[in-house]
Amino acid sequence: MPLIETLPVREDTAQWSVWGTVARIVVTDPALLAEATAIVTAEIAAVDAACSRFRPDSELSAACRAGGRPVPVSLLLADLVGAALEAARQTGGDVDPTIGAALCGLGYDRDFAAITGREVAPALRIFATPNWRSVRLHDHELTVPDGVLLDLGATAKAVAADRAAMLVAARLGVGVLVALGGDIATAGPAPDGGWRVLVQDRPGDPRCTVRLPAGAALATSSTVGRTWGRPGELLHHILDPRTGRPAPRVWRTVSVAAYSCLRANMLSTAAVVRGHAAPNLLAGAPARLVTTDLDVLRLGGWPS
Amino acid sequence: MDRDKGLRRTTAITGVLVAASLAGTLAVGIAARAAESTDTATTTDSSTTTDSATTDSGSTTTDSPTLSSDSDDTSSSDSGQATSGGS
Repeated sequence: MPLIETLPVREDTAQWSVWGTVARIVVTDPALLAEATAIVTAEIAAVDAACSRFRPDSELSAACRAGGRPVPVSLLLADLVGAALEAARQTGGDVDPTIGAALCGLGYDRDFAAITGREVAPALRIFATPNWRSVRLHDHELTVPDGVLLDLGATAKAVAADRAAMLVAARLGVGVLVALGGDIATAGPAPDGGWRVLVQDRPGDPRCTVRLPAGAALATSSTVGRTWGRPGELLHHILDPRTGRPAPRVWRTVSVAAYSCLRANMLSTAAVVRGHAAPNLLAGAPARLVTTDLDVLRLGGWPS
Repeated sequence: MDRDKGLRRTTAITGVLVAASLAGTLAVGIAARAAESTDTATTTDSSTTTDSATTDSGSTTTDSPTLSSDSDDTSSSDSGQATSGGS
């Protein structure tokens, strides 16, 4: 089950469902909440139309159907794909956008709400080995090799949060927090004392509340949030591109703070994939890792 | 004569490139498949390039923010403005 938002919705807050999870915005001036909500909603819709792998009419789907031919893409999709490829480069391939076929092979081939509780039987499927270097993006012309299916799920939500927050702050001159599932971006001035964020995966899990300075972001990746399958073989959505299988559950939850939600999400996702080697990857970023036994490891100055 | 030699050289180079391409397409992955899925098509990585894609993505700032603990943190349901959990 995706994020469960239990915090109250006050006069400075709006909340709705999107992408099988919860979207929430908080503004420093409640009088601008409606306008801010409209901006965020429009940005989410634009991102969805550009890069949803569940929509046959999305730009991304069209590029993946092009049979390996280069296709011109919008500035938005170029930015989203560029972010995904940059995340792959910076993580040494731990966060790889070419895992789409592997995800489909595991049964995650439609909106998550439609696969919850779905039975998955072991079977053999052969698919392209994820290889982000096979994707080429030059001057807003995208080439996806024939047979490769891109999945931008690991980064697009974070980029959407970053973009939406920056748009609201720039257009309305207000401080804003945009939360899309576990991905949180902020822009503009922060409230006194900073943005207060509750960090908790599932109800009953260890929790803490931290304060983010203006412009900071926070992302959480979980191996228990989006799961499907059958008893004894529960799958989750964070794949190790080297195996095409869900990453081993060394960590139940990883949260990372950075100055962009893209970077925070990239690091939290890669940390799940890296498993025991995650602390080396995180190198100084404030991070909170929860083991499968619910022990908490704090790194990079994450407050206790 | 020179023309024949050139053709042989071209054929040899083409053969090497084809062999390299085939070797590059042999990598496969194995995964569980949804029981009701009927898609069993085999796909391969069609690219033989090793070029890294160029991107125009920003957000490469590696500075880290300083977080502080919320002294008001309790087990109540009102301990933040938003929740960061797995989605």
